[in-house]
Amino acid sequence: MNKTLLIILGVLVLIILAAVGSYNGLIGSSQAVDASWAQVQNVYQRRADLIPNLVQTVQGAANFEKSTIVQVTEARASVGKVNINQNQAPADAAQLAQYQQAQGQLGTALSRLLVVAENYPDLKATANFRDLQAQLEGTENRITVERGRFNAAVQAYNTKIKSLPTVFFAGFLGFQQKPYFQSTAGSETAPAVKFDFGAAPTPAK
Amino acid sequence: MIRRLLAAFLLFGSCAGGLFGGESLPPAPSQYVTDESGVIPGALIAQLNQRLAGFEKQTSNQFVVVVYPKLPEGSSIDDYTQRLYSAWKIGTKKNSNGVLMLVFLQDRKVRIQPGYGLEGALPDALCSRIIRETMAPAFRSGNYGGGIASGITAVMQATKGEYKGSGAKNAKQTTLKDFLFSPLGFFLFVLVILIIAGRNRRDIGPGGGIGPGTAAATGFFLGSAGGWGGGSGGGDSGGFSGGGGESGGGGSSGDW
Repeated sequence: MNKTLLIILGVLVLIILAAVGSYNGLIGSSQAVDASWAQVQNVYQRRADLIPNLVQTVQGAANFEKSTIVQVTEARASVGKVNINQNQAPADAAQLAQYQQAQGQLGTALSRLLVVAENYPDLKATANFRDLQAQLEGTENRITVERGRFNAAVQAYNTKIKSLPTVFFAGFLGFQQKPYFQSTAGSETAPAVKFDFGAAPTPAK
Repeated sequence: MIRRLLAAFLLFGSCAGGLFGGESLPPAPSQYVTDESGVIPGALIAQLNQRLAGFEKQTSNQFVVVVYPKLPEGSSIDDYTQRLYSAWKIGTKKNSNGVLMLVFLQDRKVRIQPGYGLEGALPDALCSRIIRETMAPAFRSGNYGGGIASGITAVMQATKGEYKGSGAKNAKQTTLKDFLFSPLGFFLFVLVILIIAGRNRRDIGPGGGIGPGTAAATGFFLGSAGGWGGGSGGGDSGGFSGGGGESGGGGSSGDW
């Protein structure tokens, strides 16, 4: 029996085993990214679902500032226009950035509306508005949590792609780096305005 | 050679324990209700602990309450509660049926946060209402014990029908994967490899059994296994021990 042939065969088997292992590992973490992306979609959808009720409630208040309501409904509509896959994490950084920007605008419009609502004591005193306010706050917090988990899953995946021995196979097997949600500057500190939802945070104090 | 490898792994293990520390959050409380600021009478705490222990037996829900003097510098209550929840793993792994209630006296802030599995029974608006209508008025008049007791009652009321308990407290479940990735699991794994390797070498005793080196090591690891299991047991005595639950950031914060 030819010794060299045996060695070559052995090395080949090793390479194939490593490739299979890498592939399985990458599939696993890629699915983890998709799962956390679906969770992010869930909580954004939860926020969008609250908007009709919120709009209806504030419209009921006597001469409520119309422009803030219009801004919210427009921002919500423009989120719907961003074409993004609900079940699969985006592969394109620009697409994710565009989506994040649209959601950020909606967050800003909502926070503005709630700040304006502070000037309507009658509205603020209603149980319905207080419940909605609590739901919106809770949903914003959920968005923060799920976005954080998504970024953690993407980080685990991206690290795997770059580590040995997976780095030799990732490109060949069609696995690419995935983009993150960008944190807005100063978002780690609590915003000074109570209802500062998402984008464009004002520095605390 | 084998013994040297073992020594290396032992050294690695003792170092690894220090490496997995991470961020310095307060450790999980050993009781359901903990008062770090000394405003709640001890007898009331004991009574509430008993109620919540019974609540876990009856419903499998884990409900943890801590009163702190103040929030750490630069933290927001929402973010801090989330991080504590993740670290303490309240609720079962399967259902995530936990609730965390935190009070920060000097900041005059309170938060009620359910795990994923109790978001339906304890929606944000309800948490907010419990804080606004039940807890905050009592806190305002300085009745912290009463406010917390009635807040606990309201949360128990809302969540009691969601899951059914086994009559005993949840034991922490260790999956095979958790075990393999724990330091002990890893050592045992390495040990098995070494034993197999040892069989093919000179470390085989006269009767064909494993040699003294490997046997001693096996004894050592099995011995340490007994101690390792201790912290995770559920049991009927004692207080709270996290069951592996997670939270998605629901709930509500309020002030007084």
